[in-house]
Amino acid sequence: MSTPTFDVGDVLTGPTRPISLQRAGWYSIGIFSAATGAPHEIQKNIHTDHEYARSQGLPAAIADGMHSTNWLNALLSHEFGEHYISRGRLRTRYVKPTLLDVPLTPKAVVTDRVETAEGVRYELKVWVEDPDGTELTVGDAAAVVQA
Amino acid sequence: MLGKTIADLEAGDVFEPIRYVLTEFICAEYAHANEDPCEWYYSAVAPYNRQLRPPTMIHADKMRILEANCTQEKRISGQHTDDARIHYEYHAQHHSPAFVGEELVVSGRIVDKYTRRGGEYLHYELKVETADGRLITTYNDLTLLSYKPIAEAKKA
Repeated sequence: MSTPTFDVGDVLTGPTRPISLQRAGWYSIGIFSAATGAPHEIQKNIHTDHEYARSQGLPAAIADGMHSTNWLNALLSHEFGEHYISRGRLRTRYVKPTLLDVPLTPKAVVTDRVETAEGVRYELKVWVEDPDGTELTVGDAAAVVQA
Repeated sequence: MLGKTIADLEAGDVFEPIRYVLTEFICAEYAHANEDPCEWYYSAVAPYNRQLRPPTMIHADKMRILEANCTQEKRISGQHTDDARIHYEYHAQHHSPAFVGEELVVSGRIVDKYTRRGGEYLHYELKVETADGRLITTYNDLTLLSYKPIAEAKKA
């Protein structure tokens, strides 16, 4: 992979996708399988079951915040590669409930670029937005790019 | 065992660490769950010719350590309380990659527990290291212990 280079103001955009009930189920299987080391079934929870979500005071099933975090993580991994995976940082806040089936787009903008002894440190604002541009997940990230 | 349930955890509580060996299955299954296309999580066609752990897998590590430290709320095993937990903030600092075959040690503590806008929040601090002491990830997490009080407050 060539050394990634960005300027302040550069906008990075990932694919637009809705989190469907099926995708919520995939995450349920994956997180529990990863947490046990063995194949796991879908769990009934606020992400996979509308009725259970309503019993918890929610309007319907909502996406797991980690789904948005992972889509931002994939965007940063794609753009910065090992520089992000080995020396990066990601913070996300789930500021609005994300209902299922809403098309979501992960985005990032470079807010700072600093030469350091370790390498070039990039700071980014990150967010996941719906089709109206409303930011449902917000946060910031960093990656240190070594030549 | 620290708390009966996650809601019983208190500021200052220190988790009993957990250990596990990172496998091909664990990395690939987690990446596949969120359709991450990065090949590095699925095979050794990756930096150092070794399959890597997705850094966001700290979320699975959080579930592992809670499962081991709470006697009456084991969400992986399907033992729930009446309240769903709502993840509010994820904050991971990556220090080095973890590779398939390595033994990982997850430790952590409860930094704070507080009420804000009618909701009760738990602040976790976790650390993932290899068994030989290489730091992988440090992590801070905010979780809302129940969505119900906020919803009920809105109806009032």
